Amino acid sequence: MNDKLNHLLFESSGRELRNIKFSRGTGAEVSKEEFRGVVAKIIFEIENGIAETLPEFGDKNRKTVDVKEVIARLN
Amino acid sequence: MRLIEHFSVYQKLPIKIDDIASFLIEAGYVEGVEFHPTAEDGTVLAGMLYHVRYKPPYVSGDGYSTAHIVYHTGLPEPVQRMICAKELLHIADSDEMVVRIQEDVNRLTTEMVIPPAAISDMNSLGIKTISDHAGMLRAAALLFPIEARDSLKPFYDKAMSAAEIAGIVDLPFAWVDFIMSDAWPGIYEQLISTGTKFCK
Repeated sequence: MNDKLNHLLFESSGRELRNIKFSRGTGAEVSKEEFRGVVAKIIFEIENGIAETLPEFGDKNRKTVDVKEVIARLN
Repeated sequence: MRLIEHFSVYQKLPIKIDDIASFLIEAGYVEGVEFHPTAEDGTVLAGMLYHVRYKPPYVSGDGYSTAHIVYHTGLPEPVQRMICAKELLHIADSDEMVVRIQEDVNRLTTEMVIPPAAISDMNSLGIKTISDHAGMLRAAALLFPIEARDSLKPFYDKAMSAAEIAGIVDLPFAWVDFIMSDAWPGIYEQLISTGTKFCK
């Protein structure tokens, strides 16, 4: 297969693929070409600094609940 | 120590996605993690791990590795968390599970477009595709530590609702019901016992 995805993953100098994995979308009918096209678009945007990029997911300071305290309250 | 086991004793919930990323960096699985929220067609792709070693000509040595975690912003936040956890877990994939050559990428993208409901025989899929499909189970095991699950189980069996528990663990209700079911301990054991096959 000679498409944009293979070009981005295997024919670009200065980087080497270590691993790629996917979570499929919810569409009942998704073609392989459509799928590879979306993946290629996102990788192109990442590699060219166009994609939105965050250094963190953003939940570092999120409040937590201690399960032990929840259990103590319920008992 | 592998990820699911590391977080299995956490009592302060929800497990934070940023803590999982930090653990992977500190444990040496990757040098950097970047998150990419996307609004690209969510019917096609909900999330992705794109793990790369960069070797720019001006950098001496082996370069540096970055794991790019892509997730769809149209999904509810608990689902975004599961997708991110799943993709982060793949950073620690065993050598048998990694997809890094053209032939494997081609096979994976061919098999990923098959809707899960249409897969009549999981064994007909490649092991790397199975690892992708099983990823959500592993993500659930990571985000709902088994010790906390076991502590909450008696209260769930009496009157505590899935919604109340979902409020603690920040997972989708349906996943909470599944994890609190009597089937989960067996599934969890299987995930842990086969862990070395999937993770370094």
